[in-house]
Parts: sequence; structure tokens; C-alpha cells
Amino acid sequence: MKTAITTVVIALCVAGSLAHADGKKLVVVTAKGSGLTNISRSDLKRCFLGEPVSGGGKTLVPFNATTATPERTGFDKAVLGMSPDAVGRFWVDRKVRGQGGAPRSLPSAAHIAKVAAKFPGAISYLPEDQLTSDIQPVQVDGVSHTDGRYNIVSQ
Amino acid sequence: MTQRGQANAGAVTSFSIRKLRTLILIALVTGVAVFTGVMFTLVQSLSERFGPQVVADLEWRAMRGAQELARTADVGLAVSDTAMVKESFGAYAQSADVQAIIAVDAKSEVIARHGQLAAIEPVFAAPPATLVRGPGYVASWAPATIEGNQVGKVAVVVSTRRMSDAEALLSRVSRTTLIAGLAGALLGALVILFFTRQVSVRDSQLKDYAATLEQKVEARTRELDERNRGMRLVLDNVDQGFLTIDPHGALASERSSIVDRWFGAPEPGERLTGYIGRHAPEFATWLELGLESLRDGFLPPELCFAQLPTRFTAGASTYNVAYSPIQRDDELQRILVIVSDVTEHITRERAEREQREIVALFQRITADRAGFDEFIDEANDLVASIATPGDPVVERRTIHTLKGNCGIYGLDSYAAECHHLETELAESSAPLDAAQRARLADAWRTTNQRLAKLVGMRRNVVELDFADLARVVDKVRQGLAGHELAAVLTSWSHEPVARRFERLANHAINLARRLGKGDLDIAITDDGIRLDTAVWAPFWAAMVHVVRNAVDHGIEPPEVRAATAKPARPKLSFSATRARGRLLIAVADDGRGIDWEEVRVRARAVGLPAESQADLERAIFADGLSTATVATDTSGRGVGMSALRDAVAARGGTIEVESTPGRGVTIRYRFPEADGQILPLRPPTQPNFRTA
Repeated sequence: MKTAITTVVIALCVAGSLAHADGKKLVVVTAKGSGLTNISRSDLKRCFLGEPVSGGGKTLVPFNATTATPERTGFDKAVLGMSPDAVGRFWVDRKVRGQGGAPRSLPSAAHIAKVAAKFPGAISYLPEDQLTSDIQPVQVDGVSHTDGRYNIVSQ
Repeated sequence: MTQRGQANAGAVTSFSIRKLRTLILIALVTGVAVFTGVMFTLVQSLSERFGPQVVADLEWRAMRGAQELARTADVGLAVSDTAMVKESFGAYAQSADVQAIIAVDAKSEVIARHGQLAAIEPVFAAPPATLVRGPGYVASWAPATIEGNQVGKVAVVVSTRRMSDAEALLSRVSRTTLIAGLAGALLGALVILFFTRQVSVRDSQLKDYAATLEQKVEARTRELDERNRGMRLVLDNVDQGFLTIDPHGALASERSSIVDRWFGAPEPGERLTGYIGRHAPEFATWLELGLESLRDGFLPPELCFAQLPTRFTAGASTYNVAYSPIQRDDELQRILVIVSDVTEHITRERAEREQREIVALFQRITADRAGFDEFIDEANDLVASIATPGDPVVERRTIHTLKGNCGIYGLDSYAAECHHLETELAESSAPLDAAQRARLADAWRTTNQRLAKLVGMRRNVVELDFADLARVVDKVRQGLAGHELAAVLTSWSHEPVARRFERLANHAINLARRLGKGDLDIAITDDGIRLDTAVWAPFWAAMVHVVRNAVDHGIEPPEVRAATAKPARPKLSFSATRARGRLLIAVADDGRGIDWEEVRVRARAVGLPAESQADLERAIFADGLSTATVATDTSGRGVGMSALRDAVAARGGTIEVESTPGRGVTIRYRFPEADGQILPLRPPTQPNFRTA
């Protein structure tokens, strides 16, 4: 019995590893030296849903990837827990209620990297292979993107 | 038109043209002025209406563009990324109206620039969201903020060149409209002046033409008046009646004067049929029918004209009428009717005919006095026989015989009267009426009066050839018995058959010439036979019909004879011979023969037996049967042969008919030989041929 449970756990881990291997890890980034090194998933969600969230002594300014990209879809699902349609309906509803708009979207990973590096308080996400030296990866709930448990991936 | 009238007409025309020219010019100038004014007003209106809108549009673009671009370029400005900022300019950078876009960061350093602007300080010196007007542009700027932090400024400079271009275009349109209007007015005026000048010239020419035409018309009118006077003179003095009618018979007004003198003046619009019909109703009826046929167009016009009546009698005068079509483009327009009084001509012709007749009669009397006397006696008897009503059939035969015998002796006028009467009887199928009897008797009385001058007193003489006398004397010397001599001398009072044959031959010769059958070869054989004149008169009178039938129906025309290789001259033979106590008289021709099938058809048509040859031979001697299609004045009524049949039967004789198709007909009459009818002293002779 023990052997069987062990086998199942290993299989699930392998499957989880395989699943992570399908999408690229999306690393939450901010400007280097901003002082923000860790953020909870709930703050991250609130920040990207338009609520004021501070970090590193500054109000965080979220920047999204362009809609309908694997990075945006994966981030919305993993962080906001919403499908692209649900995200669209959410922001339409907010707009109708006069409660502010969605975070600015940037057209490419290069733009994100540039804005995240230069704009004070900026927070965004990048594929792991797009990280540059002037941006600061941020842990989510204390899990680094290098950790196998890190589960924010592109779709 | 008089000269004054022409001048007035010319003045009116000139005034009208000047007035028309002035009116056109006024209308043209007014039209051009209105057009120019409308166009000018329209341009101004467009300018006033759309100019401010264009300006507002440009200003809105500057302010709105600055605000929009400040929002889209905020991130680029925040990170001082020129490419991002330029990328955010988007469609504004493509607009022709946008002269320049300048984006500066929070430190007022230019991050990105599109287009050119000499100096940007005046633009950014003004408050945000306000308009800055410079030379040829209007500009505005807006701050770019992120989360309340100003990260830079974006200024949009819009060129006002489009507005100035539009104003310049409207100005050009105004000027062009004005110039075009003036040019159009000038050109129109020139054109109007040109054409009115041409019209004036043409008007002048027309006046000249009119004047010339008037002169020509007057000259032509004078000429026509002269002609009409000449024509009227002719029509007033010509002795023929000239009238013209239309195809409906309506009389034209012009006619020769003699027509009025003959028939009185016609009523206005009267037709020729009514006009002439007052005097000759029957002529008018035929004329009406002829004109109707002409109008119908079913028959050729030539035939219709040929069928129009050509003679009528009015009172004591007889008129001939001729018709001449007056056509235009092959269409009958009018008919020229030429009426001639031919009364004198007819009278003269009749007198000449009677004169010729008298000469011919005189010749006949001289040649055969006895025969002529006999003919007169017989004709007197025949005329007397029909003076009172009798058997209609016999009466018709009598008239036919009278006609034939008169023809033999040259009494053509009376023969024509008989023929006319026969025609009337044939058409009416009625017996002779009292008027016809009286007419025939009167005509014969007149004929007798004329003949009396020629015939004079009758001479009771016996004509004898010297040869016959010598022969009798010789016989007496030889001891001829007294009773035989008495018989011979008695026979001298009889008529030689040869003389009868001679008369018939002469008649045949004349008839053949008249009918175009050419000259005849005549053969006569008489054997010296004499026959009692009084007893045999009916037979000889009827024999004329045999001769007329032979010539008219039997003998072919020369062209037919030539086609059938027959001798050119037809042959007619007469013979009288004795044989075995019987007298045989025969008449033969070499014509086409009797068409027995035609006889059969005609016999059946009148209800006669026609089965055997004997039936057919009897049929040709029946009353009312003839193979002729048309009855002529010669034969064809079918009464002559029946008269002959009766005459032969009265003498106890028989008739034989021998017909060979294409070879001719021989008719033989056999009689019992009676006493004293034959001169026995002369031997049979060969035929006495002669050529006419």
C-alpha cells in the first residue's frame, strides 16, 4: 500500500513537472532596487484587479501583457483565477460602475522589461527567459520562480 | 403686294428683329448677372458656413490629439523611450493636418518629435488644454500622467494650411465665376449680334426675293390670263364639245361653249351622267357603270375606257363621245371628254351607203334581171306573210330567209334591219309584235320605192342562150315531134339551174371576202337543167342558208388551211344532175366538216334525239339548233337549215349529209323528176369551174 501511494505521488509530481514544462514560467518583476522582493498572491491579485497595493514603500503600478497572449492568459488564470472572458467582463463591469480601468497593457516583453526596470513602483510579469539584469524578480507567497512549486505559467 | 405694303412689311420685320435682339441681349445680361450673383453668394455662403467648422475641426484635432497622445505616450515618456513614444503617436503622425507632435518628459526634454515646429516654447508656455495660435498653425498640449505622477507632456501642432487653402480656393472660384460670367455674357452678346446680323442680311435677301417673285408672279399671271383668253376663244369657237370630269363624273367648270348650246348649261356641281342623262338616259347608265368600273380598278384602265359608251342620240342629233385620261404619276386625275356631233356624218354615210347599195343593185339587175324580179316577188310575198301574226317559228325563218336573200342581191340595209330584228327576237324570246311588223313592212316599202326607180317596168321575157336556140332549131329540122317541141319551148319559161347556182356562188364569194376567208374556187355543173321558177322558189330561197353555213362555219380561215396543208383557195361546188328518173342537187365544200360531237351536245341541250347518226343529221335541220357559238349577221341562229328542210320536203325530196372531218361537207338533195322541168336537148356537161 505504501509503495502504491508513493508511486502515485511520484506520478503526480512527474505529471506536474510535465505540466510546468508545457508553459513558460511567468516571473513577477519590478524595478531593481525597489525594495519589493516578495508579494502575496492575494496582493498580487488585488493589485492587478485595480486595488491600491503598496510595496517597497510605493504604490504598485501594474502593467499587463497584451490580451490574448499566452503570458496574459496564463497570468490571469494563475493569479486572478479568471479566464480571458471573465477578465473582460470584470473590467467592463468596473468601467460601468466608474471604478477605474484595467492596468495598462504593454505590447511586448521588451516593453514590459523596460517599463518594469525604469518606472518606479511598476510591477509586471515576464517569461523566465526574458528576465534582464535591471529588473527584480519577486517571489509570490515566498516561492521563487526557480522553485519547482512556482505555478504561474503561460498558457 | 404693293410697294407700300412691302415697305410696311419690311419695317415690321426690321423692328421685330431689333426688338428681338435687344430682348435677347437683356435676357442674356440678366441671366449672366443672376448666375454670377448666385455663384458668388453660394461661394460666400460656403465660406461662411464651412470656414468656422474647418477651423473648429483643426482646433479640436490639436486639443483632442494632445490629450489622446498624452495618454498613449505616458508609459513611453515615463521610461523616456523614444521608440515607444513615437509608436504611440499612431494615426496622428499620418494625418496631413498634423504639422508636428512633440513629446517631452517630466524634465521637459524632448523624448520624441514628429514633424517640424520652429519654436516649441510658446506652445508649452500656454496652459494645458488651451489653444496656441501661431503662424500657420494651431497647437495645444496635455500632460501625461501615470497614477497621478506627471511623466511628461505631449503637444500636437495642427497646420491651418487646409483652412487657408480652402479660403484661397473659394476666392479663386469667386473670381473665376465672375470672369466666366462676364466672358459668357460677352461671347453670347457677340453670338447674338452675329446671328441677328445674319438674320438681317437674310431678311434683306428675302425681301429682294419676294419682290422678284411678285414680279414673276405678275408676269406669269398675265401670261396665264393671255393663255386662258386664248383657250377660252378656242373653246368658244370649236365645234367639238370638250369637258373634263373627275373619276366620279363630276364636271369641271371649264368646257367648250358648244356643249351649252347642245345640252344647256349644267347645274353647279352636276355630274356628266346627270347632265347627258337629261337627253340620253341609257347612255348615262352605261357611262355610270363604266366610271364605276374605272374607279374600282379591277379591270385595266385601258379596257374600262374601251368599254365606255361612245355614241348617243339627243333629239335629232347623234353624238360621238371619246375619252382621254389625264394622268399624273400613273394615277388617273381627270378624264377629258370629247363630244362630237356626228349627225351630218351619219347622214352622209347613210346616203353614201345607200348610193353604193343602189349601184350594187343596179349591177345585179343588169346581170340577172329575171332573177332579181323573182327575188323581189318572193321578198314581197315573204314580207306580206309576216304582216299579220302567224306561227312564230315560221316567222323567224321568214325573216332569216329575207335577210339571206337581201344579202345575195345586195340589199344590205334591209338585211341589216332583218338582222337587227332577229337579234331583238333572240334576246326577248317573244314573237313579233305589231311595232316590229310595221317596222319591217315600212322598211321594205321604203326599199321598194328606191328599187322602183331602178327596176322600172317589169318585162315579161324569156331569156335563152343562142346555143340552146340553135340546138332546138336543129332538132326541129330533124323532125322533132310537136308535143316534144312544146315541152322544150315550155321549159324555156323555166329558170336554168345554172343561173341559180351562179347567184349562190356570187353570194358565197362576196361572203367569203367579207369574212376574211379569201377567194373561192367555184365549180358548177347544171346538165342544162331548168326548173319551174315559181315552184322551186322556196327551195332556192332556203339554199342560201346552206351556202352561208358552208362559208361561215365550214371553210376555215386562210391561216388554219395553211396549217393543215389545204389548198389556199377554198372550193365550193354546185351540181344538178339527172339519174334514174331523179333530180340530184348537191352543194359541197372542202372545209373542216361537221363537228358531230358538238351537234350531239347541242341537240341534247335542246332536247332532240342524238343517239344515232341519223338523229344527228336530222338535228342539224331542226329549229333553233346551230353549232355556232355566236350568232352573226351571216348565220348561227339555227333557223336557216330548218327552212331548207321544209322546202325540200315540200318538193318530195330527201336530204343526205356527207361530212368528212377536215375534208368538207357535201349535202345532196334528191327530188323525184317532174315533167317539164328538164331540158332534154343538151347532153350532160362537165363542171364549169371558175375562180373568183
